Amino acid sequence: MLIYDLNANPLNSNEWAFPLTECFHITSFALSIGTIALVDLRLLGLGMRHQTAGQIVKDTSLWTLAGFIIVIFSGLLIFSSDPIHYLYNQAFRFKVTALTLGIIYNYTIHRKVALSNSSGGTGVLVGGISVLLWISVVFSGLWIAFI
Amino acid sequence: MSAAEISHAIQSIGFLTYIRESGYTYPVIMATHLTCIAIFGGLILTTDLRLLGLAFTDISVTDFVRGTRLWKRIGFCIMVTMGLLLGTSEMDKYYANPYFLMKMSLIVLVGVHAWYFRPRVYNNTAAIDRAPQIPGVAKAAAVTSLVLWIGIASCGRWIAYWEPPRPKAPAIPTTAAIDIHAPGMARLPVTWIK
Repeated sequence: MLIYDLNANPLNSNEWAFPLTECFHITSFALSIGTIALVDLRLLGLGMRHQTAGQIVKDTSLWTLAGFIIVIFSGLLIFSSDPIHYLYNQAFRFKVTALTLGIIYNYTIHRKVALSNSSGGTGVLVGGISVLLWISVVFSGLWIAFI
Repeated sequence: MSAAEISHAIQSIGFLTYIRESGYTYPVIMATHLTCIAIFGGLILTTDLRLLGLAFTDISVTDFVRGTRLWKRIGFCIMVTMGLLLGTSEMDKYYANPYFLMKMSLIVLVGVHAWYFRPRVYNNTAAIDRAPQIPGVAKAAAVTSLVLWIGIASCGRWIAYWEPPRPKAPAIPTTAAIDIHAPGMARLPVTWIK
């Protein structure tokens, strides 16, 4: 299924398709990671101090999810344009791992700690790990093109 | 000096040459630039959603703008620094790139946007919160901000896909155009010598 005529994929044959898909990918990860960053800013105590973390997480949930859906969909499209190459790319494999971990982490520990409005150490730790995880996703995403 | 010469001179500055030819430095700078798009572009996106009344309606505009202001500014500074390093280290490739030039123009327009909307919207959030409905000027600020920033990110991505026009190769003469007859030679119909 991964071996097919790559020229049949419009992302490879159409001049605009691939960059446009990437733009959707970028905008949607800005939405997802941005909304997660809002929660993390509060957990780290660096911003949005007039709101509780629980309030921010409840407000951002839907938008984070919308961002994830578009990011994964556009990501799959980009993957389909050269599946074997991406599968063998170490940065891509790292990115997918980090992404999976990030999504699971976001909907379990991160959400629980944010909703419980725990202050101080726990919040800083959980928020910090979240920031580092998502930054590593973005970094490895770019690194795909450099290895 | 022409634009090409100035670009080459800028690009040839020592540390910029180092960045351009580096193994890790250039990707790290670009990845930092991209992370700023994620985090701080995201903050801008969410502020626009709040100004349009589409999200976070239980948080006042004042709280939202004030709570994210510092990090938007820090993020902007990092993004611009990384962007300057990226752009100047590859100036030869970029100065004629229409997507790069459009991106720079949009960034100038963002400055105009800030100049116009800051006194009316971003420093006037108390009035926006008091109003029964979000005023049109706030929505205008949000829509133009969305268009500008998504445009900037898209142009940025498209920079890599532009190819400079290459000079056309000289036409290869066809056999009919090549005269194989030496001076004085009889022009006979060609026959194959077995």
